[in-house]
Formats: sequence, structure tokens, C-alpha cells
Amino acid sequence: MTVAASDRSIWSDRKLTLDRLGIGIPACVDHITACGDRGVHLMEMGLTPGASVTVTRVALFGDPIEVVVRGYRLSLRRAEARLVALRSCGEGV
Amino acid sequence: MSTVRGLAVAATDTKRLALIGNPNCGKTTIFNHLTGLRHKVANYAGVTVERREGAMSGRPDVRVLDLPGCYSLTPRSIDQRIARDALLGWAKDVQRPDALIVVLDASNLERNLFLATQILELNLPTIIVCNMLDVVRSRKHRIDLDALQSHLGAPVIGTVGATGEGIDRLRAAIDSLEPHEPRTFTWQGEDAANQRVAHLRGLIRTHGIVDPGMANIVASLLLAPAVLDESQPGFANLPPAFSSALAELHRADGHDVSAISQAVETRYRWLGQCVEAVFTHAETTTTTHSDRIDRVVTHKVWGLVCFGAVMLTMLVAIFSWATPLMDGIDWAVGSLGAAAASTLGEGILADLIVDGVVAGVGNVVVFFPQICILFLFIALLEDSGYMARVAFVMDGLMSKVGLHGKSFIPLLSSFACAVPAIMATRTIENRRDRFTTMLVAPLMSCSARLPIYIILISALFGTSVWEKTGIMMSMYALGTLAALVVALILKRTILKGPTPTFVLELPPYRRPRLGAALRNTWDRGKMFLTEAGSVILAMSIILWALAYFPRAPESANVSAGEQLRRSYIGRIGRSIEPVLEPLGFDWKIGVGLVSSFAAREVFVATMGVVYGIEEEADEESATLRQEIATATWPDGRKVFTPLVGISLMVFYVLACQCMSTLAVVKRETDSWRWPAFMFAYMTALAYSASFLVYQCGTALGLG
Repeated sequence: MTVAASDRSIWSDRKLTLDRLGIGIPACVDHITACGDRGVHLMEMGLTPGASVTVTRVALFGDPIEVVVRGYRLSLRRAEARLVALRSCGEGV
Repeated sequence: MSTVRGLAVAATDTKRLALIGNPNCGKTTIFNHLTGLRHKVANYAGVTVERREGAMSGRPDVRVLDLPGCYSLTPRSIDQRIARDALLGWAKDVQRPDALIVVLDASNLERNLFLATQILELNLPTIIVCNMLDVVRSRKHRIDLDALQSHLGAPVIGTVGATGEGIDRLRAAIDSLEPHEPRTFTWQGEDAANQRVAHLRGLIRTHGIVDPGMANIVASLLLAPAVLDESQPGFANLPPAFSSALAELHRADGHDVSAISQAVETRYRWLGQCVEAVFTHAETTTTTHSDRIDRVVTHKVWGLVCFGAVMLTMLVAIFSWATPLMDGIDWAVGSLGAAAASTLGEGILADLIVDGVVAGVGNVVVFFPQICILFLFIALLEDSGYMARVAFVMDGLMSKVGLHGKSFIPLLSSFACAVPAIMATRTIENRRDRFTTMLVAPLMSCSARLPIYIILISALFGTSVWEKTGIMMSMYALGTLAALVVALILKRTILKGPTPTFVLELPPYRRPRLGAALRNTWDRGKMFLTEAGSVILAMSIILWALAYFPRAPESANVSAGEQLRRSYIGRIGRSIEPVLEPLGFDWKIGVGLVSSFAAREVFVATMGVVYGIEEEADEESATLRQEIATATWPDGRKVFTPLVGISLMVFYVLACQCMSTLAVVKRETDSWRWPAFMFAYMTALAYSASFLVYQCGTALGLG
């Protein structure tokens, strides 16, 4: 299972953020690094700590990306995705 | 205000009911079911946010207001601010609703409930509508509405907007909303313990800015510093004492948002448990209808083909489907003018009516087909969910010049006409992005420039099709390039601001509803006719008068060309000749420029008049082409060299020779400042570019 293998290896990088998550790899939000309203906005759209998130697609010009969070599709620029720090879903809440 | 009277009370005064929900939750469909087709669309005071309001059918004493969709009560665009202000009773022109209906998309329950629980905390009588149950059923999920009702402590009605299922129960629920004491919805949040919330709550109570029942939620909302542009203060209607106390609080805590982030997180955690209790996922995941469509339309190859086809169809539709309608309008206006002329006989009054009023009305109405076609497309694309994908696909490109993916459609449709394009910028939430898009849209070569390009190119350039096509293409390229460069400059200077977030929901694909789209189109078209139309009409009459007065005495029997030369416009044309000479233009071109301020295509007709051509001139006119090719300066030099032709075309590419555009910008920005700025910068740009072209060309010996 290559996904599982890569799954384990990507979490050795403790600072993985949503903009660098590969397509189709399940992950969970660890925290939002933005201060100010940008972070609040992302959280209000459902990207709160513990929420599971998957990247489903990258737009034609490499930006923005499309993710599935809380059962719906959300697109955001890589600049915003960078504010979402991730963790493996197995780790504690 | 503290006791809220329910709707069951038989009273003569009207009750206000507001619909609120996330975008794409089917709110407007529910609204249409409740009001029948009788509702009015207008704008909220001072902004171009549509206000949809109507009496509930069968209950003339209940007025239903469809508030703009939003994801939370923290506003991030003007329409979201209006929704919040209306709910809290802060809006200038909207009274606080007596009761609320929150519409949820049942297939996307968790995020929809985020807003719903905030609304419940306002403690107004509230009904929860769980819409789109058909989608939930088709995916074989199950939702327990009774359990949801007991979690939320408010009546929950399941509906299917598309078929009208559940609407009767909703009507019954509205009828039986009981008068009661203010409700208290609470969930185990942590903000109650927060000292700052308590402090804010105290402030809110002291200043009495909302009903006491709302103090809790409003306090936690106001923890976030205002996020909208300073020029649109969110709290303009609040007592200054409160605003300054609030600003002081924010300054003191260094605009810290950790408390509000904490509140968001806690709320979602509570919602997660709630959804787990009421929503049962299907055991097997079915590939949704939307997934299948997405696989094609966002495919690397087919996606691009689809995208190109949709955009091309839209452009062709605005360009050519509108043509027969516009020709029909031209014909109708012409025959109306002729009929008026024959009834009124001769004289100033007849001329005013025929050449001023009727022609002015014609200038307005002629845009109607293009506006309707563009808006019909936009309504269908939005309704189907494809619009969000267009923004998603194009954002990478548009962000390079500091614009938003949503700027793409307005800029593309500007190739047909800037007027509907500017109206289409309404979908752009960020004010700076929207204004930038509006200000650069008229630089894209619209169809009204085509006659000018055609007559100049065919009169002045050789027979080579390649040469002619090349020049034409360069004009389009110049306009597009100018638009992108100006956008980049505007975003770095006068419309500078923090990069707005691009956080956009990609809603599931749905079958667009033609009826709703047509009604939407009609509403917007009508608004253009009545509001921008009056400005355009007034300016048409002024321009007519400038070209009409002063009159030569009847006995002098002067030609139309001579009359135009003597008129105010002719005088203006002659007096600006020294200014235009460095561009290579004589006074006749000057007259053409001034008179075509009304609309670019007037240039060709005016040139026909100044060159004394008897027949009605258009771009096909061989005589006018000859006149242009042979016109000379007093010293015998040719006026129209190919270089002058290029210089003149460059001027028309860049100048804002279109009062309808200016009138629409005035209407959309609600200020004369922006159209004035637009006219000034475009004229300056056009003049400098033409100057460069002519002077460099002459220096290089191309003249």
C-alpha cells in the first residue's frame, strides 16, 4: 500500500500544511496559524482543529486548490491553505 | 421591543419574516414558494445588493424578506453585512424582523448549522427549514428531524424546494408561531466564562444597541475587529459612544482573535456531536451525480473543452444573438422618430423629440438585449454551480494581475459590451476587486468600436487581408493588455489593500431553473432601464442641444455639415484642434470625438455629416471611405494617413467614449467620483498613447 507508506512518511514532517498535501491523502486540521480574520474565516468555513480534510483537485494554473471538508467542496488559494497546519488523523484531538 | 409578538396574533399591522441561510441552500426557492411570484426586487439604500421582498401568499399581513446568503454572522462582504444588520435591527432601511426562517441544506448539515445556531442565539421566534431532503434520500443517508428539533429547540420542517414538498407544513408552522417570551437558546459554549465577552455584553446592555436577548451572541461576534473596508463602516448606525468603546476594547487587546477562534472551534465541536446524533450516513458511498459531472468538466482535456465551449457560446450569444434584437430596436426607434417627425412637423420641438428624446431612449434601450442575454447566462451558470468552477479555473490567471477569479466573466463579456459587464461585477464580494474590475472593463474592445475599426482600416490600409486582420487583432490585444496593466496598477495604488481571501464554496451541480433565471434577468434589466436609463437620456438631450444650437437662420439655408460646424460641438471641435494636432487629428475628427462621447458608433455617422455626405453614413459606406481617404488639411497634406488611422484607433481603444458606461458605473458605485475618475484616466491614457503613436511614427518617417 503505497498510500499508507507515504502516509507515514509525510507525518515525519511535523510542519505539513494544507498547500503541500498531496491529492487524495486524508489528513486532519491541527491548528490555524493565521492571526486576524483570515484564520477566523477559514475556521468558520469548517477548517477547525480535528476536522478531516482531503485535497481533491488543483486548478489549471496550479492555484487555487479544491478540498473536501465537512462533506462539502471548498476552494482556496495556496496562500490561504498554507495557514492550515495538519496532523495525521490518528493522533489525539 | 423586548416582548416579541408571535405571528398568530390577529393584528392589522404587518409582521416581518426574514429568510436567512447559507448561499446555495435553496433559500430563494423557499422564498418563491412562500410569496408566489409576487415580489419586488429593489436595492438596499446606497448599495447594489438586491433586496427581494414580498407578501406571503394567503397572508397579506406577513411580509417576507429574502436576506443575502451568508456563512456566518461575521460579515465579509457588503451583502453579508446587510444580512447581519437587518437581523440585528441596525440597517437604515430595514426594520428588524419579527420572526426568522433559517434554511439549511440538509445534504451539508454541519456547515449550514454553524450559521443556524448563531441565528438561534438571537433569540427571535425561529423556524428551521431543512431543505434538499431529496438529495439526502438519493444518497441513501438518513436524517432524524425530530432529534434535530430537540437539539436545536426550535421547530424543524423538512422540505424539498424543487417539488414544494413540506411547504404546507412550513406555512402551518408560520401560522402557529406563538407569541411568547423571548426564547433562550444556549449550548455549552465557553465564551460565557470569558471576561471580555462579559465586558462587551455590559457595554451592549448599557448602550441598548440590540434587544437584551441578543446581547450574548452579539458580544461574541463583536470580539472580532471589523473586517470590512473602512469606507463601509460596519457600525455606522450605532451610537458613537458605543463604537468608540468598542474600538478602545479592540485596541487594548491588540485585535486578538483567539477568543473568537475558540468560540468557532467550540461551536463546531458541539455541532459535530449534534450531527452525529441526527444524521446517519449511508453504508456505501454512492458516486454522486455532481461527482460524475465534475469528472468531465474539470478533466484536464475535456474540462478545457467544456470551458471554452461555454465561454464561446456566451460571447457569441451577446455578440450575435443580440444583433437582430438590437436591429429591431433601432428600426423601432427609427420608425417612432419618423412617426413623431411627421406628426409634429418642423421646428425645435420636433427636433428635440425626434433627435433628442427618441434617439436618447434608443441609446438606452439598445443595450437591453445584451444585458438580458448576459444576465440570463450568468443566472444559469450560477444556478447550475458552474460559475464557481469558472472562478476556480481562472483565479490562478487573474490573481497574477491582482484580480479575483470572479473578475473573469465581467472582463470577458466586456468584449461585447462594457455596460452589462459592469453590472455583472456584482458577484465580486471584495469592494476593491470589484471596483478595479469595473474600472478596467471598458478598456476591452467592445462591439461598438468595431464600426470605427472597420471604416478606418478599410479606408486607409491596403488590400491585404492579413494586414487588415493583423491591425484589427492588435487593437483587441492593446485593449486587453491595457486592462490587465491598469488593473495591476490600480491594485497597487488607489485600490490597494490586503489581499482578499479566495475562499469559495464549489456547490454541487444542479439543474438550473429557467423560470427563476428569466425572472432574475428581467428584474436586473428593468433596474438598468429605470436607473441608468434616466442618466443616459439626460446626457443624450444635452449632447443633442450642443449639436443643435446655435441655429443658423432658416434663410441662410446651410447644409447639415455647415450647421454642425457652427454649433457648440463644432466650436468645441475647432477650439480643441490645437490640442488634437499632436495626435494628427483635425477639427473634423475633433467634432467626431466630441459627438461620439454619447456612443462610439456615432463617430461614423458624424463623419458622414461633417464630410457632407447626403446618404446615411455607416461603416460600409463607400463614399465616406473615399472622403476619408482623400480629406486634406488646408495646406494640402492628407488628413488621414495610415499613421493617423492607427493613432485614431488607439485613441478609441483606450478612451471612455461611452456615456452609458459612465452612467452604469455611477449607478453601481453610487457616486460620481468613480465615473469621473474613469473618464479622466481613460482619456489621459488614450491621449498619451495616441500622442506617442503619432509623434514616434512621424519621427520614424511613417507619416
